[in-house]
Amino acid sequence: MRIRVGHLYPEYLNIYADRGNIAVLFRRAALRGHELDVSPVSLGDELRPGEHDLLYVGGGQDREQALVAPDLVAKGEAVKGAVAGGAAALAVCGGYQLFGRGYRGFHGEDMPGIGLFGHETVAGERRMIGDVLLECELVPGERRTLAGFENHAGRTRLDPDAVPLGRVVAGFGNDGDSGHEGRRSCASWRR
Amino acid sequence: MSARLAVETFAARAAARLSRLAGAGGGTTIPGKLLWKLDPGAIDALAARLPRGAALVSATNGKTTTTAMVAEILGGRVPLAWNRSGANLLSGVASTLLAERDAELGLLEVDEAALPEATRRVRPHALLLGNLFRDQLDRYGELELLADRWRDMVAELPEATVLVANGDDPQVGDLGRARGHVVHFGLDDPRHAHPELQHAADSRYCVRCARPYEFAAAYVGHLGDYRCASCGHTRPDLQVVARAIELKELESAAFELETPAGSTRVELRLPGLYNVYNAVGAAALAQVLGASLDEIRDGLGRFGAAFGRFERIVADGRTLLVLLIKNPAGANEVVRTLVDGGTPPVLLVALNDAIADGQDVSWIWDVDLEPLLGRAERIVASGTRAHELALRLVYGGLPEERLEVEPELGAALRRGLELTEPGGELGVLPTYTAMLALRRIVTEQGLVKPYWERG
Repeated sequence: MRIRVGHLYPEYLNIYADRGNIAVLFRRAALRGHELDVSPVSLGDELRPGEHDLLYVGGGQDREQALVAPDLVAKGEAVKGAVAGGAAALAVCGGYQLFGRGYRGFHGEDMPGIGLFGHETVAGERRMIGDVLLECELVPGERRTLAGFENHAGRTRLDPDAVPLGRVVAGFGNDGDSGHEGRRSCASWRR
Repeated sequence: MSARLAVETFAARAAARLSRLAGAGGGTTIPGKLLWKLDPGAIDALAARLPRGAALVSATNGKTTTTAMVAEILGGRVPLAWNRSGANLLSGVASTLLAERDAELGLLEVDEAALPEATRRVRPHALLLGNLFRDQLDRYGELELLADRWRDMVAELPEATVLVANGDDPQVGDLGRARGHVVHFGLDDPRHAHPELQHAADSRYCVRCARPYEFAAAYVGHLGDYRCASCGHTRPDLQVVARAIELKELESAAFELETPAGSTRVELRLPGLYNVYNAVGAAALAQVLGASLDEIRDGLGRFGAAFGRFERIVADGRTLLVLLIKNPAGANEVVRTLVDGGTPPVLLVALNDAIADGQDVSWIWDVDLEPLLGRAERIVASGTRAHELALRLVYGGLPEERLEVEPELGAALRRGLELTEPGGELGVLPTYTAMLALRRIVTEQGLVKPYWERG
């Protein structure tokens, strides 16, 4: 099948592994006989629910993130509409933070997010960098490990009812002390 | 010299000798580290003793090569305190100033993050700012933060310091805006421009108004001839320029060097457009330091290669062509130079994740490695993160039968040499600590002199 991917702000949010994540999606889709059709959705572009099967949003350096944040907020309802209509969303790094309620910077300045997820992020003093290993149960009863890389100063706090992507086996995770990394949300799993 | 400084320098020099005796390497930073601990202000005093002052060179990419080129241009006419091994933190600067007691001029490359403090302490007569690219986000923080620190540093520069800046980098070219006299250097030859901005180009948005720049030419990453259609910020006028650039395979480059003192044709024994940038920057700085146009032309023409940067080493009847890779923009230029110049059939790529390499290895996903993958007949992936690298290569399209994974560097080097025809060239692309380790391995085999003995 053809998977239509909407890549949000690829020319702004493209720090380090974002292109890698897209490359991995391409490869994994190809291995399963699917084709990936990636189109950019950038500043001022209209996001029409139903146009994409998957939305991808990555991270940027602070300046780039601040440049796109207002536009993302303006697209907030469209993103929620797309997800409610069945599109999957993969949000990483700054994109993950802005898909929550927002990001509070080091000097107290706020960068509002779109509030698709119930979590918020506050800048921390020490950057959390390194390999991260998670134990995930994406399908109930099926435990698997997920390995990746983290490099963030933000501490993301999940709301109490949120389901993390996985339990941190090694590394820092969302905030360095909750033992959780990421979050996931799916119609059938949503609590 | 004050009594205190004398005692400290004696202790620090003794430490360097001990370090070499103990086989711990060149001892290039141990005395400096000791001195730096004993008395950070000692750097100020050591620098102040230099009769002709000091010049500092910093950039994300090219500072070692640029500094070495300036040293070659000055060509032994001036005794230098030059940190040739690339020990470019404050401790390395201290070590160099300590070791070169009879130097007249300091010629020091300095780490981008350490530069503001080095500048405050050394009070250089000239300061060369080359470029800013995303690099080691774990160590430096984000590019913007570094640019802000450089901006503050430039604002505090003594009036007498001559600023030499790459006008082709929007961030760096804008730093001297408030200063009266800045020497801007850059390239002017749109035939060598990229058709579009590379993925790893960073400063795409106007430093003044944040609208996207229009690039009449982008030469290396975001370095080029830019203009903001919204607020009119453009590349500054260039005083030292390379035009009519000729790139000759993996061997050399030539260009017309235009300066306020006249023009000359420079023949460089190094390939690649990024080395033309290094050469133009070196020419601009050397001119500020008093070199004549002939001395610049001859010095650049004599220049071989800096440590691990397009360095050729003969090993076992083959030639190792060593090209340091350390961040997306630099690695892209290495790839481009190999692809344009003729990719060696066998490549050894080594990815380490020590602090000096950057512990975040995800940068390899931002490098445009793909053009290389269709050309190399065999790639040996090595280093502490050999498997991550192998994954990157395979996901980039390298057929698995053309890939070998050997994390251990010595074994990987042996394998690479074995795969290379006698008389042929093995392309070696290591990150910083992998480069040091590989050099140590070939040094132990007596193929190349240790760097602290080279002169």
